[in-house]
Amino acid sequence: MSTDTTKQEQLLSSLSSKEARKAFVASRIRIRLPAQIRELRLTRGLSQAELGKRAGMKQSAISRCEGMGYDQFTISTLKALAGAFDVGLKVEFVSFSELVENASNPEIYHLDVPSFDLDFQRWPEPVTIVLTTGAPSPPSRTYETGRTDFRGGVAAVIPRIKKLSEAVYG
Amino acid sequence: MRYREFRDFVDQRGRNLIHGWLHSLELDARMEFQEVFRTLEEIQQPSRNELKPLTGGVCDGLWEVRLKWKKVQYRPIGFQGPGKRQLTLVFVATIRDNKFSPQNACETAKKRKAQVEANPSRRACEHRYD
Repeated sequence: MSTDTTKQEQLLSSLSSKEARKAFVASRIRIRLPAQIRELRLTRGLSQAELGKRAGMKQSAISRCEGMGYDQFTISTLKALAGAFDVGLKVEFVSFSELVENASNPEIYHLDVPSFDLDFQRWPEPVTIVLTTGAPSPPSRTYETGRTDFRGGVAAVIPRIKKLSEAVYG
Repeated sequence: MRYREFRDFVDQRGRNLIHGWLHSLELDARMEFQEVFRTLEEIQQPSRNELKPLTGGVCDGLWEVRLKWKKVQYRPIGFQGPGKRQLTLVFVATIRDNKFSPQNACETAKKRKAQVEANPSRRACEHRYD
């Protein structure tokens, strides 16, 4: 499997022009969002009609929303779908670094996100991580991982710990 | 989670033909198609509208990614392999009147598939996202 770092570097290099960045933002909405709706529905074992019933939408509307390339979402539709899946919805402007990190780390940022109940059921308590080199300087530092860092399990946290470690110790 | 990884066909001169094709497209189309590849790597059960096995005659054993930009339908054709969870793209056809253009797209794809299988490290590389 290719490294996420390589993919991240490649993606970054493709975003050198403002036009490219604009197209990237549009493609994230047009492609990823419909795919995520379908993925969330399938992992919950729902038919389009059943999801439509939960969200107060017609089956045909769900079908449209799941088609890659669809970009006529309204905030109301997204809120209804989030409610039906019992997941959060985050509509906000973000930095490109956040968007690129999100796009290049599928092991951390999954398309399939857990419902509220499942999410809290599997969250462990925050864990303290102590980074030590054994050398007197820089000194050991202690970090709280925070609850949200544990999404996806311990395996998903390891790259973050590595990054943190690199940031501290170079 | 990554359920599959795309790979690109490399010709005898070492040129990545899939990357070359992507860079022949207008910017908006390229960015969108790259997002499709990125997303398809993360989908557990892709829709047949986006990733479909080809059946019948010479196309048997091949897969197509179904892409559309404006009024043109593109069909990057590939096969599962050489590694586990890998899908190697070997040729890009377009669709005209519900038929591949060029019409021998599957034959070409099969020849390239054989070339990749004979020399996987030289004739295919990781899909490039730049």
